[in-house]
Amino acid sequence: MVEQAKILIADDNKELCGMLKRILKEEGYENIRVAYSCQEAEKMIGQTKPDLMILDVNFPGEDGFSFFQRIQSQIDIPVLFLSARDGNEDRITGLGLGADDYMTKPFLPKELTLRVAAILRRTYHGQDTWEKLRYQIGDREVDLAAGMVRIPEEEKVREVNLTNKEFQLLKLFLENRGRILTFDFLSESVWGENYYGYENTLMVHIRKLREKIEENPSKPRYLITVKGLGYRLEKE
Amino acid sequence: MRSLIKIYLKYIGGIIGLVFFFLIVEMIVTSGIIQKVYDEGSSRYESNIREMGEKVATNGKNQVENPRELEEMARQAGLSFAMILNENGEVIWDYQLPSHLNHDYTVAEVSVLSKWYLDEYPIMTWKQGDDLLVAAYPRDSIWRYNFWQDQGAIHGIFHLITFSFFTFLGLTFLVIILMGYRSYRKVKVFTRAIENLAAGKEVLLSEKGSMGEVARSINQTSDRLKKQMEMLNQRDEARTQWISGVSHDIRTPLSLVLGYSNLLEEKAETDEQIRAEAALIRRESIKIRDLIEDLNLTSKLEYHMQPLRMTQVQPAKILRQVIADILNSVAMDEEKYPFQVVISGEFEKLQTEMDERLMKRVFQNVIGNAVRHNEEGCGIQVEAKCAKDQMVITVTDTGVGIPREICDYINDGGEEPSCHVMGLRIVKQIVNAHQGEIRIEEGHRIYICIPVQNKD
Repeated sequence: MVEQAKILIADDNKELCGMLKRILKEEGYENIRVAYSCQEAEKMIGQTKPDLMILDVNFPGEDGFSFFQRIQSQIDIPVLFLSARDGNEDRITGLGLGADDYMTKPFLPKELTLRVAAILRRTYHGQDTWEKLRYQIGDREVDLAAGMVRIPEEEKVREVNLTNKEFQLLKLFLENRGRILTFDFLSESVWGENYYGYENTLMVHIRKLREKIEENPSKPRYLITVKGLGYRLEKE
Repeated sequence: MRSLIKIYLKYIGGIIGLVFFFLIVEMIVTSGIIQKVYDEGSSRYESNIREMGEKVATNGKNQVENPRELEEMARQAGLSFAMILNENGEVIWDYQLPSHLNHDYTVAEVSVLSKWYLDEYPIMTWKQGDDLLVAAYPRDSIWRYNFWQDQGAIHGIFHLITFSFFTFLGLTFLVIILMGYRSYRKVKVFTRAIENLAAGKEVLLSEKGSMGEVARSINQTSDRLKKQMEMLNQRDEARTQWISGVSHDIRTPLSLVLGYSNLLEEKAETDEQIRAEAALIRRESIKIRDLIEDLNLTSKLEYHMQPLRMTQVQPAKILRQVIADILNSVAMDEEKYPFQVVISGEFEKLQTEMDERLMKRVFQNVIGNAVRHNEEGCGIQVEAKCAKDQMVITVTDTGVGIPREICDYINDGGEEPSCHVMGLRIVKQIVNAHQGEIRIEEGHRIYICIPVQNKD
């Protein structure tokens, strides 16, 4: 689970490091270490390999970009750049070097934790480590590990299997519950970069998904259509 | 440049007109002089001898009947001498005839004297009946010349004169036109240089030749303008750098304010007042963040230090994402802001070149404004469609409306209003950088038109 994820924070501002630690602790991460310079960070990486590094760009001496480039050739660590530089060039340099994400200061704590979670999920997908696997939608239970929906009926529980695409869609909805996901985002996530022309296919899959998770699929209560934009899985 | 051609044509026309004018005047004056000379000169001699000749009356015996009268006439005509020869060449009358010329004249002698001179006296003759009046004018008083020429040659000479006259005239005009053209070319260089100066381009002319002085002045002006431009650019750049520096330095402290206020907000679940106050700090620090970012971006856009990163994008996707982000944001109360999104089929398929991040900012600002400025809530309609080679995005709200002075500033430019307008100014700057236009109608409807870069 999340608590086990080892996160290394590298920033020369001590207060900021303290706050980042607080924010992540609130979210349940317990294994957090802090480095105030690139040298320190390098030493820590040498001791234990972190699962994720939150890295500043501006350091006295060696900057975050070149440090990242240097250690990347030796060891594979997902990196989230957290920088005060917001120029297009900086963003592109950071992501171009192979960083997993680039965030600019100032930021909302929620933004940071969501991105950290997303990187961990992406990187360690399928390793069964930090992923939440069971969700409740009304009285139905979604079991992502088994790829099925459990529907309680009078006496017993009926199990319905999810197809591959339904599984992917439902997983996105569950991870972003309460948020509107646009047609574009959903199609792109499920069908990839050249998703164009899949709107109708997407609609078909949503309908099938509703049949499995909704009491009344023609009047959905949870998987709502947001007209002109996309879909949203309502919170309880 | 057009006016320069006009000036040139006027000049050429004027010169040619002047040449014709002089030619006509010259012809009138010359013919007048010739007429006068003829009247007063040659014709006088002719009429004198004719009058006198017609008076000659002889009887059949070689005797003049009116010698007195003839002598009188000869004197009045100013003759040196005169005589009358009969058919045999004998002198039958004379007036002051020198003795060495007083003899009979042979046919050969008569034929010579009638054409030329006699003893260097210019001679005029008149035939009256069978007699011949010979009148001699004083020596060196008349230039007498017996002209004869081959007929063909005469014609030739006349043709040659006519031909050479017109050739000469033509050549004159050609020279005038060429000279004029040369100056026109020279002046054209200057007018073009001045036009370039006006357009803010650098100019360097050759300082040689008759117009070197003017060229030097123009070069100096160009130099001065260039230096001023550089100074202005330097100042603008310094200002932009400074704003960029401040906005950079403010980010880390603002992160702490934003982060801790948010943590406090979540921690103080039980204490409603602390929670509300923490939320206020968070909201206000977000405002500071947006303000600083806007200030940074607007100054970069103003001085063209924000290069556009054009990529092939799908505007419908960006638009949807921005609206979804606004609706998904933490502080959003969806019930208060009923959204209506209408995207046409054509716009849905549209792909065009634009700076994705900046265009996102346009949509964020325009739609975000409607939310931000209507805390009581309002309906928001976003409509996107294609018209000819343009994409047209319309954002309409039912809220309090954009103040009139901001609408005027965005629609017509002019003086910047005293109230906060940075968000819309950035929108305008970005839209303009994409060769597009923005218009606000009645404070409630914002039109954004952007040309589609490559429609396929």
